[in-house]
Amino acid sequence: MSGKERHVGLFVTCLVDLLRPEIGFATARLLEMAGCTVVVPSAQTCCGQPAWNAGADDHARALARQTIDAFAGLDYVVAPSGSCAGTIKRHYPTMLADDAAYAAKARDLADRTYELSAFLVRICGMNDLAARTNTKITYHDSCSSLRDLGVRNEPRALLAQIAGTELCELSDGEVCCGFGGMFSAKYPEISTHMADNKLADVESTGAEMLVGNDLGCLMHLEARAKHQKRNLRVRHIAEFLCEAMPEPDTGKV
Amino acid sequence: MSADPRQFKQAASQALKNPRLQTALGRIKSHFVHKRAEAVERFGAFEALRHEGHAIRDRAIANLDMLLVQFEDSVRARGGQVHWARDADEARQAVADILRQAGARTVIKGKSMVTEEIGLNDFLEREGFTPVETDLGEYIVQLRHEAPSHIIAPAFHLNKEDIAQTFREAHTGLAPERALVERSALVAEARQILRRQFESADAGITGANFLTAAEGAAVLVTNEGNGDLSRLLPRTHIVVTGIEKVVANLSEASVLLRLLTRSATGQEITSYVTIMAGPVADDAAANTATRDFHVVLIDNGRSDLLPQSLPGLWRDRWPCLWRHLSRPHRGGAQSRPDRAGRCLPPPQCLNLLRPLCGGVPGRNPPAADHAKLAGQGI
Repeated sequence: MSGKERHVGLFVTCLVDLLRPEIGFATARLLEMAGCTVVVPSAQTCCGQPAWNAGADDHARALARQTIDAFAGLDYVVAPSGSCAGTIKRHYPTMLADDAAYAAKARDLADRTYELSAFLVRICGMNDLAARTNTKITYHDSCSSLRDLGVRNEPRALLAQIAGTELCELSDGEVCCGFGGMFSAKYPEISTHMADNKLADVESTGAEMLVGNDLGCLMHLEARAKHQKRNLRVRHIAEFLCEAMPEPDTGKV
Repeated sequence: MSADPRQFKQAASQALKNPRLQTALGRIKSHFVHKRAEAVERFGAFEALRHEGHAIRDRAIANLDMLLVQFEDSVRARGGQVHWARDADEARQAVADILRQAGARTVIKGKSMVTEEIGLNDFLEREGFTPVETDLGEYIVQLRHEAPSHIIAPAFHLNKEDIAQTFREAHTGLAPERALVERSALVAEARQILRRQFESADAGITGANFLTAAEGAAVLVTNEGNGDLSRLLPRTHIVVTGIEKVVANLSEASVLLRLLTRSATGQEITSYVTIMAGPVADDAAANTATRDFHVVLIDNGRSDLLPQSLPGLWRDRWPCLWRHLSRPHRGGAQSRPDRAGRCLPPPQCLNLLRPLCGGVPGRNPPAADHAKLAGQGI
């Protein structure tokens, strides 16, 4: 894309929009730092993942078509979430395979869609954030990032650019935290038990902060940690990176 | 603990509140998860192997209908029989019918999660048969009338004191004052009891880890050798397994085998890998009775999980096989044109399908009909 500006559509995601908009602003800031022109289409809604996972296929397809239309014409679509990006990238083409009008559009959108850290590292080649912190952190790989998108090295490549960050890896980093979207609503007891296992693993690393790229997992773990009165800070990777920047301007007005 | 998936939520809730089980499950992490990680590390290109395994499974699913028909043909060519079962009830009935025809009463069993799925042991007991589990862990949970707590470690929730107590209650013929403290003593006692069962059983039931269409073989991994004994000693051997186990050939199964043993127990290979194809060849000096070999192929909801585009293909290509496997509530088994509007199936496969079409759904037509119809060369 050299010589041409990247027009990036920011897919905000439901959870970020409604519960932690700071992550959206931090994402926009990082994308602009990487030289992108950020557009936030106002017609965007939920990507349809909960409906798809619940078997409400027609509702999921309606949302998928709406998302495809909302992000038409942009070079890229970036989401601060492996889960929503994974839905668009991995599942839209399957969802709409038999839709004559949208099958090709779904494949095209899938090709243009990225999870934030993957986009910053793979497409923008971000390699010098020139930021500093003094924090011992651990990183939680969400299942969708790891399994749907194969994103593992990219967030670590970004974290490594923040001087003073000590990354202590979890001993069972590939294990689900128990959130699992609909799973947490259907099986709250198992979900909570898995969160407790994850938090015990976090504690054994000695990290003071848990960083991840999916707000679903992070909220699940943060709420459980608060309930247990654990002294653990939880940040989305976009927040963590922006907080470490010299000017902590998250774009809020 | 209930093994019925409809009771999963309640069973999970109880299991979460069982401190002993939770402690045991904690141990599973070091026993299995970490051993797997080490085995993966030692292998090196494990991810590449996983991708190959994934591709093999994808191909098998896309061609499931053809592979299953080919598998049946290969089994028959070796003198065995395949029994199609659309649900748990048909599977249980098929096993009982085979046992009755063979005049069998006592049945030794290798560990099989599919037989747990269909509740085979309870059913066989009600029908007057005596099924005996021969995998050590399964044997223990059978004596306790419990369901296995883990697919590869069925008695993982028990400690050796629990097992000693269970053995004392069950093995009443042995001296009450015997010492049952060491694990080795428990194993020796189970071995002694089970040896008699192996020697006297009329039939053996095993599961299968893979079925290979080209060779008509069932491949089974065990660490105790009980699978081999269950197959080799009784006159009748029944493999009970799901339709999703089939792959094209032994070469493909060997790729999956490398993945399976490392992923399950962290072993490069299990102590025993048994390739079971056709009836066991009789050693004339030892046993002159005729041997028989049966495979009960179970759908029981599996074909509901096929990719959405596949059921259509099944109906197009293999209307009769589809009828075999689809349950009544699914509606009619009407063939329909494919997306290009053509009417399949390919003619070279009709020979295989003819006998299926003529049979009662879920049952095999007589072998003679098969030969006759195949001879017509349609």
